[in-house]
Amino acid sequence: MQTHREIFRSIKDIPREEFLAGGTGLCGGCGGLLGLRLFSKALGPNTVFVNAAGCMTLLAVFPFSPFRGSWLYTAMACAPAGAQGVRDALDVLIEKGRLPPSDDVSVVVVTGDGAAHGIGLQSTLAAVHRGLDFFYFCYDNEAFGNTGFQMSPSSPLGSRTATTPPGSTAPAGTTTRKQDLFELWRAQSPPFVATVSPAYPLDLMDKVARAKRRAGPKLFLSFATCPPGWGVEPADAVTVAKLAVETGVWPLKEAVDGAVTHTVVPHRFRPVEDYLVVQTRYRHLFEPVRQEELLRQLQEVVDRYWASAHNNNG
Amino acid sequence: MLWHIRFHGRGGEGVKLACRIVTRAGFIAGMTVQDSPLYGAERRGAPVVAFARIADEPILERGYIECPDAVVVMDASLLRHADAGVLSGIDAQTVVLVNSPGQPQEVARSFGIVGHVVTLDVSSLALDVLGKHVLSAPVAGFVARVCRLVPRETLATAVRTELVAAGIPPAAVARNLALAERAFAAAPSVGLPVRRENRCASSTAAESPFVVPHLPPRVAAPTIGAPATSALRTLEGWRVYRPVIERNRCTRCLICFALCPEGAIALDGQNYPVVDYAHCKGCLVCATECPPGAIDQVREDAA
Repeated sequence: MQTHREIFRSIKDIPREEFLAGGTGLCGGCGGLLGLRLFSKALGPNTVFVNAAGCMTLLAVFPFSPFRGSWLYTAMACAPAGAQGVRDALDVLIEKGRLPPSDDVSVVVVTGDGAAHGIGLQSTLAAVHRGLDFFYFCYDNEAFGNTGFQMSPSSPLGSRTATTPPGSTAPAGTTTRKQDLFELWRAQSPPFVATVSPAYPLDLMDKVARAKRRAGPKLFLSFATCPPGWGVEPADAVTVAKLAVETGVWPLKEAVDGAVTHTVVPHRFRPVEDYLVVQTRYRHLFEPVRQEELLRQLQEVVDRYWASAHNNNG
Repeated sequence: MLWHIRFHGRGGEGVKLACRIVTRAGFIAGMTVQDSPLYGAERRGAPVVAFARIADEPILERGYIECPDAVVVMDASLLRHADAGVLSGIDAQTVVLVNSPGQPQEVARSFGIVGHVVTLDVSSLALDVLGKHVLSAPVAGFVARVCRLVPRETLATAVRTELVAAGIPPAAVARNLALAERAFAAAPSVGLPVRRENRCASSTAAESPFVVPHLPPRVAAPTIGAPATSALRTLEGWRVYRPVIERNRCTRCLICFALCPEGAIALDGQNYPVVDYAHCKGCLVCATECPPGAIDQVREDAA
């Protein structure tokens, strides 16, 4: 099942033009890069990117930048504060007549899940609270991927990260639940909050096109397969992202003014194991001994989520 | 005696681990060792360097190895990139181990290498045994043999120790052991040069301090004033395989164009996809996702 798409109905509708040039130093098969590329295609060229430190730092390495427009690099904690400064400056220049309104640009924060869920959360929620008019693109690879895949608040229960290796005291690896950034945003009812996936380009791009009409804070939480961190082949980056949606692990949804709609719902959910078994970060759940209780728990979390989603007609 | 070995490769090929295995082997054999990899932010495909010092005396040096006794070139495509500095600091006595199917004389001639070149087609060995381009164990075998560092049994112990510590499952450890021994057996025994003095001692001497002038942000900050400059970089050397689109099987569904993370697939006038090989990293998402299977994977020619 999928909701009616307004602008991007078929793959033929995807613009031919690339707004993110090649030649960046990101890993082959990076799900975050594919998400950002599709996001940029839907957003168009009139943008300024404010980038929190993370993997996407590698987009621009002096003197090379893939962007046609401006890119401002900030520390991990303060990309939304940087975006506020840029937005205010644009508003002031337009008001004083020093910048024609036709030259206005969209301000976009690009951040990884580590910065978004952890050290950058207060400046993010403060920007949402102030109603800052910006796009917030978070590529979620479920750990601090840039520095060697350490655990972040976004790391799922049962996953291996560099700082939560499974062992005798914690056979699960990561023992905490994944923090829900979608709900943290939605609690403040901003105009647009969405989860997206690079494996579903039309869903992603249609959400961007619809969000463009709205002023205020707009979240895009993008699933980001991380080949080195997750232990998958670069070639399988999109396949793994599809499995996340088909198993119900990564719900594709949006919340407009706080009201949730699921935009892609599988007809029949595949077992969560199908998604886990293809990644070495979950291998300890299957080898040397199957951790039945934990596997059951991970399936149950997903089942419970969808049961309540169906009850709320979400 | 203190020997310096410098490893060059690309992220994901096992540069760091190859260096660790070699130094581990030296350690097991009773030598003093030091091992330090160097890379920017972690990137598969990006140039990586690792330094090994192996000695029968205490090692008092630290830092980069500028004048190596042996250079290990795990990815010959790096020889074409001046900024990777693969050949910096070598002289006629330096042993240069190149992962290449070519003859040593040819490789030396085509890249203008002054040192003693030794070649072994490690990539084909690895793809043959592991089915993956992971070279840490066979390169360690290659180095151990060529540099006459340790006997085969010591190398095997080092491979097992390091791979188990890295969390590699037993079956894969066994495959890597076999692979390391194959590389060890296939490589020639050359030895390392015996030098009287450290050729680079002068460069490590303290120099007078450089005082950074105070400059305005417009001058001092790294600002880029032109659009899309990253397109000036080519990434061809990142690939092990290249995607080749077969037009007669292509249905022009545009899936590959939509799903290329790099935006390296454009569409021609008839809507056929065309790969921009200058910016394709060889991730092969396109080949995996192509519904009719119209994209072949072709091994890049080794240097």
